[in-house]
Amino acid sequence: MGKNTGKNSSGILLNLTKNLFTGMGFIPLLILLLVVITALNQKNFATFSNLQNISRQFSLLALIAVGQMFPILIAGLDLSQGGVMGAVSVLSTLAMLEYGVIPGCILGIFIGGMFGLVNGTLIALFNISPFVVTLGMMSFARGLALMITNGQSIYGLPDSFSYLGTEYIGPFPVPFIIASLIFFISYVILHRTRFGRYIYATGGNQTAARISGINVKLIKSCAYMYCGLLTGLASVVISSRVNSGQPNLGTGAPLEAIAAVVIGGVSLFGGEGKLRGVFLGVVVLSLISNSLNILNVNSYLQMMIMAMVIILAVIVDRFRYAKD
Amino acid sequence: MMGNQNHKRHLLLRMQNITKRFPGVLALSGVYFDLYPGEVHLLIGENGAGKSTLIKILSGVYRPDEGDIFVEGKRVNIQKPHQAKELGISTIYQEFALIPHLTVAQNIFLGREISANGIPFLIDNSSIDDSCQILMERLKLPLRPREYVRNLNTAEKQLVEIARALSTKSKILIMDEPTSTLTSREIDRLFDMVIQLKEQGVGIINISHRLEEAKRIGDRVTVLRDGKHIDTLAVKKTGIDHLISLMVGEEISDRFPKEKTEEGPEVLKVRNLTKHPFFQDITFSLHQGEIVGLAGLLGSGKEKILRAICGIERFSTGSITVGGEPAKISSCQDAINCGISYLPSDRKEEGIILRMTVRQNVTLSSLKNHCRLGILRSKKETKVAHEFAERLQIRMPSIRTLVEYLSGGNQQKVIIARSLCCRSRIFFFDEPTQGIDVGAKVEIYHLLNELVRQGAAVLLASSELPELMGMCDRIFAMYHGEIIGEYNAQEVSQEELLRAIFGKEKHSRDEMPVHMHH
Repeated sequence: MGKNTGKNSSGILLNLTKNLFTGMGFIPLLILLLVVITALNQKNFATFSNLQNISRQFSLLALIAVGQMFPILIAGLDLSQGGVMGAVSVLSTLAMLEYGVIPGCILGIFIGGMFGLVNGTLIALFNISPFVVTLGMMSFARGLALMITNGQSIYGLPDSFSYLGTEYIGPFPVPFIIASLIFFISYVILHRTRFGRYIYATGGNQTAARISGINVKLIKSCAYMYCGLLTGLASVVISSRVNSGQPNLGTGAPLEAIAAVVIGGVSLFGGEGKLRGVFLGVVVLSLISNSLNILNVNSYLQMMIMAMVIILAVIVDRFRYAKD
Repeated sequence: MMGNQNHKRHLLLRMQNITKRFPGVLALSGVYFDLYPGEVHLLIGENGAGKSTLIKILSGVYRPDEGDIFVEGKRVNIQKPHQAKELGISTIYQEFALIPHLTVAQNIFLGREISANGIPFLIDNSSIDDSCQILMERLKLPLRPREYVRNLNTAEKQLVEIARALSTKSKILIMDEPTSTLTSREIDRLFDMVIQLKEQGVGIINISHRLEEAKRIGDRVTVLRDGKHIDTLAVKKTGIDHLISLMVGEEISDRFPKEKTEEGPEVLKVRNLTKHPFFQDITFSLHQGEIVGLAGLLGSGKEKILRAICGIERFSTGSITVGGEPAKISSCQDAINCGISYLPSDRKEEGIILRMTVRQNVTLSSLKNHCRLGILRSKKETKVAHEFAERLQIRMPSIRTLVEYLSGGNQQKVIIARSLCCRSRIFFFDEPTQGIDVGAKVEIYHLLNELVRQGAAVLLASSELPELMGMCDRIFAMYHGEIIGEYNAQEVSQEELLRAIFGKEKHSRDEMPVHMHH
């Protein structure tokens, strides 16, 4: 008898936790809590310039998180984002010195896409673990960036390049405009195109998708390529902000991106998750990071806090999609 | 028989009035089963007769809804597999639960390793090997304890499974189709061991589809049909034909609403399709308006053929002609473009995408037609999905309901709708009524009728012979990867078919035309 009641109460507890975290319910709450605490404690939180700051932070994370969402939707992931950002930063700025700003930017995005395509093709063709492939690619890309520059940053870029990262259109920072555009495009892709539908199908049940006549390998390659393109774009924007080519760009990128995606309710098992969730995930993470900054939390402690948030998000993911 | 004379009065096992319900199905109803020490008791019946359910109840995988189990006269309550083990009940399953990268000894003692000098967490490998060696000598098994399981052949793996089951002083040994993967010499060795076990007083329950073989070692045989206990007989006094007729039971009536259809031109021709070792030299044709059945046991290769023609798996040689033109099928897309749809037996694993809506599932294969430049036209998609859902009478709250929440029969209909939606003309059904309750089965049969009435051709692979005989025009019998006979579904008897798929009636390819023209 005693055993039984114990089981019941733990069951109720489990259900409670489940309900608490299921759906989007807890994300807005978390945001509200953060904003209130920080605003109460620090006068310079609720200022216009800090808002622009947050929006810039938000935009850069948004680009890599939306990119990351695609591999995760097909039950994969892309750990190479950081290394690819380094390589893109170096290669695009070098090209810029030779051929001008716009060709350099375009080349950067293109190179990002190529890295993604190679990732995806290797994973799909040889049916190997995305974890290993993209981890390897991370190291390869970073190595490439460091080798080309010998570890040095690239300076002396045209002034016009800094427009992307530092200027405003109306009250909005340019990166924010870019991120909004990417959200729109990605929404259309995911919910209004065949490719998007096939991504959800492949992630939901790969075998069924294949039997339904979907070219699963192609879909996988394309998903990684899209992620690469957005990673490339993010790298170009950040390089513009620091107005230099940085081989060490984006070391924490994949982790933050995955965190935002998972907090946003995209399942690591694939096939499930919405873009608006990722949007909220990005908002939460950039707010957390901004608040911690303003509260003057030690930056190493910040790393630890972020890590805990990420692990918590994955645990929530387990609860949400646990199969009974 | 000899061994159990002295034990005759003490039953080792008695299962009484066992009843088990699954949603929509009465799997077992008031079944009685008993076992003496030193006896081999055969358990036979068609697919779905309830054999596995009974065994799973005994080994603690399922719990019975009603009924009692007595082991050595004492009433027992088996809730979990480990409780069955503690009672001395061991099961050898068909699928191996061995870890290839461990040795024979390590596998046998997995989970109850011997500690070194009594220090927990430290494993004493050499005493495990010694214990294993003693076990091997006791069972007279030719296995070396230090051999890695990955180096063993199928039969040897089976022996390791058996040794593992017997290493824990078993009183009752359950063998679930132990011979289906073995060659005849390996079977001999297995049977030698069974005889040894009998001498040691172990009671053995043997499920087998191979009646001929099972008869060699069996003492008594119990026949189950539709979840009911039909009869228990002494093996020696019973002929195989009698057993088959007991398994088959009464004649089938209108559980199968077969309609007569006009047979049209040939739409599919398969010639000499081969993929070693799964199937060889498969040649057949399919006409518009007919349902052709593929009968065969597990492992006969029937589902492999379906999957090869539909581009899911590859085949080595042979040719496929669709509508008179040679078809090159190397992927599922190719098959779908040829108008061939595969409807898998495992709906959840291979058919539907659970977390997508009915609409999304229905249009998945034909999305190209509802797109302009890759952009979906939602209104058109919704309209088409509605149309097909209505035509197939899919019962659902809305077209936006996740397929996850539909019943098995309705999920099956969603897959059929998907194939119809991409204009398939040839439908390959792999066990379409598996795990579906009786009412929904009949609905699926009506759908098959409608498909052929509208000029489609259907190939139906099923392990339920009554279903094949009730719904098909022609039936191919498969045995060991070959088509060994073709029958007119109206004329063939179930016994004849059973014999064929058990490999008892082997026709050479030359004899086949005789059957073809009835």
